[in-house]
Amino acid sequence: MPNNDDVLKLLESADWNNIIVQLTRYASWHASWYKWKTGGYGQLPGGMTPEDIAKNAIKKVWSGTRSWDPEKYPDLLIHLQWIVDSDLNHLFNSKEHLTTNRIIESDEEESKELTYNNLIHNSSSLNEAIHYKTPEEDLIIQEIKGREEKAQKELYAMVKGDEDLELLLSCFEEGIDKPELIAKEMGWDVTKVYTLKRKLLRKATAIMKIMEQD
Amino acid sequence: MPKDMQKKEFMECLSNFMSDPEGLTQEDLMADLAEQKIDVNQLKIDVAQIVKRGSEEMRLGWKRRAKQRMGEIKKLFEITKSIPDTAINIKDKMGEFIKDNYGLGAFKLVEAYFRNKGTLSEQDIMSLLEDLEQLESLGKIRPKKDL
Repeated sequence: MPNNDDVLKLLESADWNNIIVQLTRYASWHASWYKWKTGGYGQLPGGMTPEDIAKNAIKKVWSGTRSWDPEKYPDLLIHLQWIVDSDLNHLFNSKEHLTTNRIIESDEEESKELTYNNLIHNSSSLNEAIHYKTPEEDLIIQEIKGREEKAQKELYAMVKGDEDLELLLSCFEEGIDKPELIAKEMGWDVTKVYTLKRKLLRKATAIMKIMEQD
Repeated sequence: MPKDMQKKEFMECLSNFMSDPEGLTQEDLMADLAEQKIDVNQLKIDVAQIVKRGSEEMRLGWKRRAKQRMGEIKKLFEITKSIPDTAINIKDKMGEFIKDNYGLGAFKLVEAYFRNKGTLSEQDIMSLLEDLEQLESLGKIRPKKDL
């Protein structure tokens, strides 16, 4: 662990204007996914917004609640994304929220948090974050599958006629979401994947709308 | 976790892909947030305040800790003053205190200091401890808990 002075200097020199933009986008898309996954629509639990989630993550790094070790985790943004996921996980998994739709403030989040490695290696960390228990388990899985099929259908309809975007969606079906892997799978140059991402981004409102539908 | 929930799902992939800034320009990112009706300028103002406050509090925290430790050192001097010199080996006591509070690294520095100086005044010891405080705050030596 580097000394406090080094950490402070690194934190003070970080490009916060850029970080807050990227982190808020991350919080926004992941919050939408969490909401979609749990069937919760509209606002986040407790009236939180993606902006609140992103800003709270930054506050936690500064206060030391989630202190940053640049030697172990050199990328500050990844560390912040991990905090965002951990907080979203906490928000959506709090038992009180599940029964009353209210959030609880608890120090027990440590025991439930996602591991940092899960986020870095992207091993379906968000799936693991939402725990379902038998006997309702199968029912819930079926419900999610049904909603996923519906959402997929709508997304394919949205990009109909654009063969490349259709192929991109087919990669998601295979569980591939990293640009380099998509490029490899499709035999494309990675810049083509970026172009497709920008194209899809122009349909963000429509995508979010699909994610918001029951 | 049931087996069929293990595979990364379509919607999760979509969310991961869209949230990843890789390959997007700053304009793309800003446009996405604007599309989601998120006020980027306000976000930047808010984060600047968080950073300013966090930085101030971090620095104040060090000062508080240093002040607290200096208080402990002064207390130790009060104790040693009340005990006759013949009954206590001040050098050993100081060594023990430094090892406990600043760690082995600092202790070795102090040992060398004692070795080089035949006699020590109270002022010498105070200056030494102040030097140690400064070194520690600059991260040149590590507190015992980090060893």
